[in-house]
Amino acid sequence: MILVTVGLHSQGFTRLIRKMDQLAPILGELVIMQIGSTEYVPKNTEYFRFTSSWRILDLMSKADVIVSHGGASSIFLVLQYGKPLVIVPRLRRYGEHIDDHQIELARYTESLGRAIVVYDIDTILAAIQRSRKMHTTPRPIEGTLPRVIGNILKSTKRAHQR
Amino acid sequence: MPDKCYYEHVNRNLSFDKDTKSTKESDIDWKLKLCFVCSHGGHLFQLIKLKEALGSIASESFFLTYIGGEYLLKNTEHRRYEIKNIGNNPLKLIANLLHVARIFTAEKPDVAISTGAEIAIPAFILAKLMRMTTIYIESISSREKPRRTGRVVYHLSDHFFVQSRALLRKYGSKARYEGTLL
Repeated sequence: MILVTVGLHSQGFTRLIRKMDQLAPILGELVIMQIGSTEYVPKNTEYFRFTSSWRILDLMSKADVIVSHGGASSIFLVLQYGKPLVIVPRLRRYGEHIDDHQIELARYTESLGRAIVVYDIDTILAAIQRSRKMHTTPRPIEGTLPRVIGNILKSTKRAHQR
Repeated sequence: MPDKCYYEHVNRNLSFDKDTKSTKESDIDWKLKLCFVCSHGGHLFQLIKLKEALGSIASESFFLTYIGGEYLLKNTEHRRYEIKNIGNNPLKLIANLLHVARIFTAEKPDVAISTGAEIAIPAFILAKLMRMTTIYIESISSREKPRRTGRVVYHLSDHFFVQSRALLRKYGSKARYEGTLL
């Protein structure tokens, strides 16, 4: 199963959803799309607009390949499962976001060898096939920054008490 | 179960430095009130992870986010306020100052923590006026270029973190890199 997810952003992502809808019959496997605010409605795939986090996690854990926009939560949730990941950053010039910042995290994830980034939507089929050969390990969410913030809060607490 | 492992990751950060031997009883009773303020989507996801990792330190806290954040916060125990999206509109920013002021005077938080985006600007302006401690964490999505919000909020932050080493020299000397939230 291929899961396509575009996150919670208020602008649509027609470029990705339409392309995946066109490719679905060629791919010959189940495609499920979370289309968010996208106006284009898929004809060849299962889809829904939004759902709870546990359902999206469940779908991610079952998917063979995940095609995601370049949003931070989508990307880091997928990395937890170590699944093949194709990232299509939302771009400002197509009205998909207010700026092009999604490219930065996408490029970073690719540099870690954990994803393939698609800039030209016509190359997405090749990217999906290539991603299946990737060997990635699950990456738990356990950053070091919360501990540092925790210590700051502890000293803040003491400062307020004096 | 995939869902279970998701929550286990969350709980792993719960132990903090053991420099709390001098903890008095009043330390335990007295809780800081934290305001987690951010826009929805990835910004909110990072702050939820931070709150969960902070454990009991963040037991007195609430979220202040945009309408649309409900998919990550509904059916959770996190208290929340929602205000309208500012986007790129400075007029809406001013209107939001009033909303945030009303919430802050009612809640009286001690600390404001934000991962952006522009919602942090009105929140931190008021936080400084109300003598709150402010902690800004540049979003994990910012890897190379500083964001406009970061540039503004830098001057309003008591503690300023970036989540990418490459960003360190793009802000002032106050900026710190101590790894990531996720």
